[in-house]
Amino acid sequence: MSQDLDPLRRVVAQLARFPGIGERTATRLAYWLLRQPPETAREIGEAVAGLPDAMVTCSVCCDIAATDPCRRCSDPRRSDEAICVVERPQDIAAIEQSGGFHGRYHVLHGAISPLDGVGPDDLRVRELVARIEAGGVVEVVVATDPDVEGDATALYLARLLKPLGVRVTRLAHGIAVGTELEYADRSSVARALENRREL
Amino acid sequence: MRLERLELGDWRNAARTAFDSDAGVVVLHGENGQGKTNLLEAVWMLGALRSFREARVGRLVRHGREEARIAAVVVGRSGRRRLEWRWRGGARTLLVDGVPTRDLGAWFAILRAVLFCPEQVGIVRGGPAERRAFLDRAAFAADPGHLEVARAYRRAVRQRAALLAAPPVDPDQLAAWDADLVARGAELVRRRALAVAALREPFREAHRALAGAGEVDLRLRGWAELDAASPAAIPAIRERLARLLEERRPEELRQGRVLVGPHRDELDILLDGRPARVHASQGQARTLVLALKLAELEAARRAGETPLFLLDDLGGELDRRRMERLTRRLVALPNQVWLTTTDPGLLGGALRRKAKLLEVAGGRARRQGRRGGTAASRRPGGPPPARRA
Repeated sequence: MSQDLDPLRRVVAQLARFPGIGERTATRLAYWLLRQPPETAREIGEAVAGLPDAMVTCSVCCDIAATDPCRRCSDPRRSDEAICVVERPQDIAAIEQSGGFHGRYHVLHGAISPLDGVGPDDLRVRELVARIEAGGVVEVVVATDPDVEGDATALYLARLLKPLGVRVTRLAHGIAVGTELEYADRSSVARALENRREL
Repeated sequence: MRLERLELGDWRNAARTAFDSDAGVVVLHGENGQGKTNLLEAVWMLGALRSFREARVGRLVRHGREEARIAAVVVGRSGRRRLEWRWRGGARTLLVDGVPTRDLGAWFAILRAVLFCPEQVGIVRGGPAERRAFLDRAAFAADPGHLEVARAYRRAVRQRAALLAAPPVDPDQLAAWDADLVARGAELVRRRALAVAALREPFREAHRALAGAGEVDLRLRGWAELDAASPAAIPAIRERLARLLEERRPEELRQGRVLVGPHRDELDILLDGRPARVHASQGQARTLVLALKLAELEAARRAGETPLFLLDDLGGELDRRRMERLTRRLVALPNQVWLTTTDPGLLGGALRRKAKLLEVAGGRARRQGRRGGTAASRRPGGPPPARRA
């Protein structure tokens, strides 16, 4: 359908597909692009076009990365004894910026939610269990969102992982109720890490 | 807390209107169909973020318009604050002092309200859901934190129900939702039990004052023996909920439904030792609901909060003696009272002297002096308070 539009309209229509970007912002961005030197649009276009092929899912932590295993999984300075479990890849950045965690990560790609038809089998839970069964992990820090689905996922993981002989903790106080990890400020995340509790 | 000024834009039948409400009692009077209740509903929308007549907010926007706006100046513990509610394109925006916010706790810390309207006779005569809703609202009037606890619990129940409704049920996942329900349910039960304990004495007292006869009581069925204030309350409730879940799990799995939890609890309202739901007459039920609302205000006051008290269509079914007793109570309340009536003559001299009388016509409120004169005639040169914004 967008093929029928003129090139500018087409760019506006494509930009407006981004979450949080409406018709007005998309139009502003498109006109800004037109005012830049031609290579700007080309560079942006190439970077965007190459994205799906350039990124892979890390076979260890299930993060979206440029290499497999990803750079965090292959970083020898990180501790293998602790794994921090998050719902989304972008949650890793929130924990990293707090500077309070130096272990490994694991991305579930969601949380348990029967209302949305999402169960443990739809998440990267099996991969997490395999990592723990491989040995060397002492503690699993569950950093799922502090909402109903995040809490249930944490309870599910605690029941599943404790029999494997690891300590299971949960990020606690510090993040305001209703705030998703991605949007929390650094000091809140640091405090939440300090106050993580046993499950 | 006190609402000192209200401004409306395309709300119900009001195009644009604004008026000052700087009085202990605000009386909205006028003929039927002029928009008295619409104005009260706007105050409730700010104080509860919902309507008491219409679940679909889009329908509250003035016919032919796309967006509606309600704004108020509220004076309270946190000083003088401006709250604004906007509805546009099917979405709500809340602004505190001009800054958009999603923090409902901060919003309700500034303004909350308690409502009495004729339909609420259902709290006494309707089903248990209406009584649970009353209890949750009363707990919320004293502590806005209750909102999040009740909401998260409802969400957890819906999730657990969705799991049970789609067999085969993964026992490990069910165990996680069980643990979640026990934890959230225990917190909800304890808060409700505390609310019942806080309401019981003020309810008896208010009912005696209004009705003059009949002993009343409140009980959270199944939890009557619980000492909610004790630190042992939470473990005790958890243990009991876990046991009930255990007992009824086979039945829940067979029926594919949630059969255990405080979303099924019953608040018993007793009149002379018997369930008021079956034994109270229409008039008695109305008095019971008024007494419950006065108790809700008193419990909130003891918790350090003074929400607004909104009464819709006052004078409908109360006899003259009960009306006099009620207005005496209203005059003595520390809360700001908003009420609508077709006949301000019913209110009695003491209440009228404390009141700001606003006549509502065509969706707009116009000030009248305490003895019937207009503001402009009593304050020469002053701007008329009900003007176009």
